Amino acid sequence: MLSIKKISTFTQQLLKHSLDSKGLVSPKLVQVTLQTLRLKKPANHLAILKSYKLQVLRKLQDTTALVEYSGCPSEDQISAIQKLLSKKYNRHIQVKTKENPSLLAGIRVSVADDVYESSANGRLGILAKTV
Amino acid sequence: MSDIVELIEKEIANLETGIQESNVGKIIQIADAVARVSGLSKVMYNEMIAFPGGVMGIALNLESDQVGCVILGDTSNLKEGDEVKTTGKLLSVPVGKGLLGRVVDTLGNPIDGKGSVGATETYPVERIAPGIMPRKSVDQPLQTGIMAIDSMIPIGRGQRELIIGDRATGKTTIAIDTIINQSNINRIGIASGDPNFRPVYSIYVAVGQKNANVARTIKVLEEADAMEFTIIVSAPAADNPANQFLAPYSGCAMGEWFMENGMDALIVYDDLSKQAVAYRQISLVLKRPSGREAYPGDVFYLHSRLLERSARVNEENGNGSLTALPIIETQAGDISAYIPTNVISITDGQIFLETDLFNKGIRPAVSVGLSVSRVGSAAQIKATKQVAGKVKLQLAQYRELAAFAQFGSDLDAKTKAQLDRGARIMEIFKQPQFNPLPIEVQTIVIWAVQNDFFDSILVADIVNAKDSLRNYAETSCQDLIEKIRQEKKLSDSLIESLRESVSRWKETFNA
Repeated sequence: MLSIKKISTFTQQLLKHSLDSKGLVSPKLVQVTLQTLRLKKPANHLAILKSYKLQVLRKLQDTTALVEYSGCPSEDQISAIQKLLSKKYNRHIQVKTKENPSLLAGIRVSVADDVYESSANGRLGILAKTV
Repeated sequence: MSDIVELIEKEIANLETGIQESNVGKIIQIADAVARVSGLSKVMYNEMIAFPGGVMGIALNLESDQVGCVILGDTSNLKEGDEVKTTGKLLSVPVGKGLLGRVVDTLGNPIDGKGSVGATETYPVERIAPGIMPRKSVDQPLQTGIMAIDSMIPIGRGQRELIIGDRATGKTTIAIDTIINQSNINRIGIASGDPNFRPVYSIYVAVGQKNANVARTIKVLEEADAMEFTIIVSAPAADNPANQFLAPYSGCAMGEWFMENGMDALIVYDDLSKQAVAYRQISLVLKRPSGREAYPGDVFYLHSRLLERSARVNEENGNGSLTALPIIETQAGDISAYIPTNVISITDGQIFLETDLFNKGIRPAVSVGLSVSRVGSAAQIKATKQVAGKVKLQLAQYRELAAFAQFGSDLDAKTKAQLDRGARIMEIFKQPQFNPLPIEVQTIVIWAVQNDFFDSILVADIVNAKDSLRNYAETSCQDLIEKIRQEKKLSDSLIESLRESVSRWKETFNA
């Protein structure tokens, strides 16, 4: 029976092998890792898979920026946001866009648990707090 | 004019372009006022967390993939999946003189219906205690107004003196008497116009008490005109455990403000047993490993870091002080239980109250044998030392002889005299609640006992005689009281006038 700590260390190693040269999670490498695990069947297979899933999810969140907008931003703007975030976090950040009419105007960018709010809805929220 | 407009325009421009950066998380579990939150990767230990609906929490457990937060408000509207935010701030409470006369909750919000507290400053609830260099030895008395304590277990400003005993033995009464006595002394001192007079401000922290008891305490303090110099921090039994755990720290922050601004303050923690229980509850819900009596491993640190914040600081640091009177409730007189031994080892002495003495009518039920003040004697005024220096020894001898005398009737004259004196001292120390005695009157009474003025009075009449002497002293010997207050010692001439006055009283009392 492997301890939680050992499982976590092991899955961190698996995650390292699942990243491409840019440090992003590669679906191909993940497939290879899963296949290897299926063949080797290590002790605590289920626990390892669950822990691996969590690590991959966290990595995906860390390397993905969700840009919510109301009023579509241009390609250049998206590209600028990606460059800025990659520089700020010192890692390659992928950008996903999603329309969110509740923002009223402006954008909201989320990278993992960091949120950068520059929307009308956010401003109204602050105003409501101060009133 | 144009500068002002420019300034406003700049502000508007900032507002329009500013990006709000926040670190967020999601509630994954919430129970018993404790939430487990995912995310919050940048959260700091003890940082305030903003929950939806203006509810605040504190990050207490920082784990690899989640954060354990205690919630300080109403949790009924919070649910799994709600977004929470870090604030970048430590939990702080308002401090200052604006809080005097007010009743506030753990977060310093007024709960007495008298409007907002006029405080301009805030202090963080958790602070590091003063180090070695800013401290100074305890050298000024903090009189409780209770004869048994001021004469045998004196307390100094900056001391931590534990009040310990079973339920309903008069622990809170001692604390309240002390607060009332401080307000009495403050009033006399301020009226005297003495520039060197240092008032003592009091903070009473009620933890886990019934609301009715807190209301009764407030009423007593109001009737004694003591609220003017007092702040009450209330985290009643109905409050959530996080508030009960934090209330002593909030009160301490309020007290520290006085200390750091060169003033003297007294803080009563009523009581730390209930605070430890609240902390145990939080720790168990946070799944921290439990130890003895199911308390978490850091329960000693819970109290040591709180009580270490009480100190007497030196002149370079403002010369202020914070005196702590923590209260601990024992179960069946067991002072060797976990929390009592912890707090006994942290404090500078303890006042132990015994149920047996209380039931025998000896109130305050101070057990002379088990009570001690490790530093307070350095702060006792010389007059009290002169008259009460031997009292503790006399009472110890009395107890020994009284136990021995039960087995035989033939006693020599010396033993009989010791027994008689001891019985009278025991009676002298009986004192009604909320009726503190000024130290000058205490000096007069104890001097009279030590100089045989009470020997001819029956033991059953001693309490009446003491009250009579007090009334006589307060009405007819104001000069004498004033001299003792100013000189703080009994000179030969003062002893002579004391003898004259007490002799006159004795004649009137006999008549």
